[in-house]
Amino acid sequence: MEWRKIRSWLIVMVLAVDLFLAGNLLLQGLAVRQNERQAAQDAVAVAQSRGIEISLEAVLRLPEEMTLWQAQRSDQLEGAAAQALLGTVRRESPGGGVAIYTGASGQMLFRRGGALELDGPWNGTAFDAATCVEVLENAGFALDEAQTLQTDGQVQLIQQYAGYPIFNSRLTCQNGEGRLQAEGRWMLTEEPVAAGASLSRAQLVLTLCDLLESRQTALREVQAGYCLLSEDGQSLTLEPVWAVDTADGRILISCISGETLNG
Amino acid sequence: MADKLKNLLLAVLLLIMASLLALTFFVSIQGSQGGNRLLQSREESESLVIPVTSSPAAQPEELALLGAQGLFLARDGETYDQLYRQVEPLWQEALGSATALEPLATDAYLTLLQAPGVLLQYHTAQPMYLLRAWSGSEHTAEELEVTGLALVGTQNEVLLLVTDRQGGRWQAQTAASYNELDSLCAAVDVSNGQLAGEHAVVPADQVLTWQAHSCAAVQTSAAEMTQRGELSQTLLSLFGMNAYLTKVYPTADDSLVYVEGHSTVSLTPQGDLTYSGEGMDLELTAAAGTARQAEICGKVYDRMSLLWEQAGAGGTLSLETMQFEGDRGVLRFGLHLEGTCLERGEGHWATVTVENGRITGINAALRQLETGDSLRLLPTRQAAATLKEGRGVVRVRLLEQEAGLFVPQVCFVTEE
Repeated sequence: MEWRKIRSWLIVMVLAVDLFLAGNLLLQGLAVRQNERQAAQDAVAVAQSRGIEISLEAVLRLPEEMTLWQAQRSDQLEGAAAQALLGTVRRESPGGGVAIYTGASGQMLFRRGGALELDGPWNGTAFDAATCVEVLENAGFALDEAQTLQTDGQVQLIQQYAGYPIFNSRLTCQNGEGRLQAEGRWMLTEEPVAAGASLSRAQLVLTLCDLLESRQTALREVQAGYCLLSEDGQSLTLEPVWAVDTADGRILISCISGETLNG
Repeated sequence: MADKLKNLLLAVLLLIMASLLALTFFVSIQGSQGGNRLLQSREESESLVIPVTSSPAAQPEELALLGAQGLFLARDGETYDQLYRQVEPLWQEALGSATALEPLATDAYLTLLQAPGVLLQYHTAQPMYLLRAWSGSEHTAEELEVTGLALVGTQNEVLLLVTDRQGGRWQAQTAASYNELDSLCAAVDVSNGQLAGEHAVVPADQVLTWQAHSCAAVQTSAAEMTQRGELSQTLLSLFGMNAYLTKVYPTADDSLVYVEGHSTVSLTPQGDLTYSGEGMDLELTAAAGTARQAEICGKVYDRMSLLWEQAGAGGTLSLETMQFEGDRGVLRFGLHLEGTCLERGEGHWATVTVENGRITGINAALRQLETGDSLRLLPTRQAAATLKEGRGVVRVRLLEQEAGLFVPQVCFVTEE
C-alpha cells in the first residue's frame, strides 16, 4: 500500500518536473528565435545607416537557417534512366566524370555537376509539360516538386529541393521529328546527406550590404534556394544560396561562405 | 494490471525527465559564453582534418578565350577568378576523358586554334601525368612536360591540344561538352588581344594584348600569425606537434623556435617558417611510380594551403617544380595573386621535402599581401615587337623591387 502512495506522488512530481522542463526548453527556443530575429533587424538597420535599402519583411521571410547537402552521383539511377528512355543501352566511361549510354534509338550523356544531354525517341503522343513530366518520371526523375514552364515547343523543368528552387538545375526538353531532346542539369542521386549549416540571416544581410555597396546597385528582390555544384566528377553539393535580383542582374550569394557564386 | 501500467507510466516519465534534463543542459551550454568557448576549442582541436581535394596544385598563369569577336585574355584579378571558375570544370572534364596523346604538326595545331576555344599557359612546365591525375584520368603514364593547354571545339567535339616544354604539339579527342565550350566562348563580347603568329622570338600561339592595362603593385608584410607572435595550437597540430608538450625558445633575432622531440618549427618576425623533424605522415595509398608522386603532390598541396590559410598569409600557392630521387622528393611552390605571379628575389615561396611518404622539411615565406598603387603597363604586343633575338615568352609578373614591394612589369621569360 505504501509503495502505491509513494508511486502516485512520484508520478505527479515527475510529471510536474517534465512539464516545467518542457516549458523551459520551449521558452529558451523562443528566446533563441527572438534573438536571431532581432539580430536580423539590427543588420537591416546597419544597412540602412549605410544608405542601402533592404526590406526587413523580405529578410524575415527567408529561412532562419538552411542546410548544406552532399550526394554522390548514382551509376544505378543514371543507368536506369537511360534504359527507361532508350531501351537496351551500352555504357562507356571515358573519364572526367562523363558517362555515355548508347542504345539503338539514341544516346544519353551524364557529366559532372549533374549536367546531362539526351537524344531519344518520343512515343508519338502530343508533346506538352504533362506528357514530358510523365515520361521523365517513369525514367526515375523526381519531378513532384519541380516547376514546369512551357514555351514555343519547349518544356522547361526547374528542380526544387525541400521546397526551395535549385537555381542552376533545370532541364530544357524539346520535341522534333519524333525525338525527345533534353539538355541541362539535374540532381539524379540517392537522398543527400546534411553536411553543414548556413550563416545567420544577420551575417548574410551584412554580406549583402557590402556587396550592394561595392557594386553600387539596388536590391529588387531576394529569394532563398540552392545551387548545384561539384568539385569533381562524382560528388554533388547542394549549396544554400540567396538569389539577389538587382538592377544589374541576379547574384547568387552562398549562405555557407558568404561568397558570390556567379561573379 | 493497473499496477503494471502505473509502473510503466512512472518509468516513461523518468526517461522523459532524463532526456529533458540532458537537452536543457546542452542548450544552456550552447547559449553561454563559456560553453561556446568550450565547444569551439573542442571543435578547433578536432577539426584539423586535412581536406582531401582534387584541386589542381598549379594555376595557369595565362587564361584566354577564343570567341567569335576574337581573343580575350583575362587580365584583372576579378575577371581571372570568374573565368577560371567557369573554365576549370570544362578542362577537368576534357583532361579526364582525353584519349592518349598523338603528335601534331605545328601548322595543323595553329589551324585548329579557332573559336570556340580556351587557352591556358603555365608559369613552369607541369608533368602531364599530374594534370591527368588532377582530373581523375586513368592515363597517367605520359612523360610530357606541359607548358600550355588548349581546348578547341571542332565538328561538335572538343579537342585537347597540348604544348610541351620542347615546343612539341600533341592532340587528343575528349568527351567534354561542346555546347558548354561554345556557350562559354559565345559570352565573349570583346577582344583584347591576338595570337603572335609568325614572330622571330615568341611562339606563334603566344597571346599578346593590344591594350595597355593597369596592374596594382603589392606590398607584403609578415603574416597575421607572425604578428600575433605565436603559433596557435591548431597550427602546431598541423606539424604533428602537441602544444602542451612543445617547448618554446626565443632567439637573439626575435625568432621563436618550437621544439617537441625531434621536431622543430622556427618562425622569424618577418614570417619565414622552417620545419624539420620526424615527419608528418601523408598516409599515402599508392605504392610507387607516377601515381604515388601525384598523390604526394596533392596531399602536400592540401597541407600547404591549409598552413597558408591558418597563418593568415595571402595569395594562392601554385606548384612550380617537383623533383624525385627514389622516394625522396622536393616540391617547390610559387605564389599567385588573382592570376598574376609574384616572383621573389630569393627562391620560392615554399619548399617541401618528402621522404618515405612523410614531410620532413618545410621552408615557407608567409606574408600578408596588400595591393597598392596601380601602374599602367605597355601592351604585350608592343613589348614583343621590341624583341629581336632569343626564344621565350612575354608575361606580366610582379617582381620584387625592394624588400617586400612587388611591382608589375612586362617580362621576357626564356628557358634560362
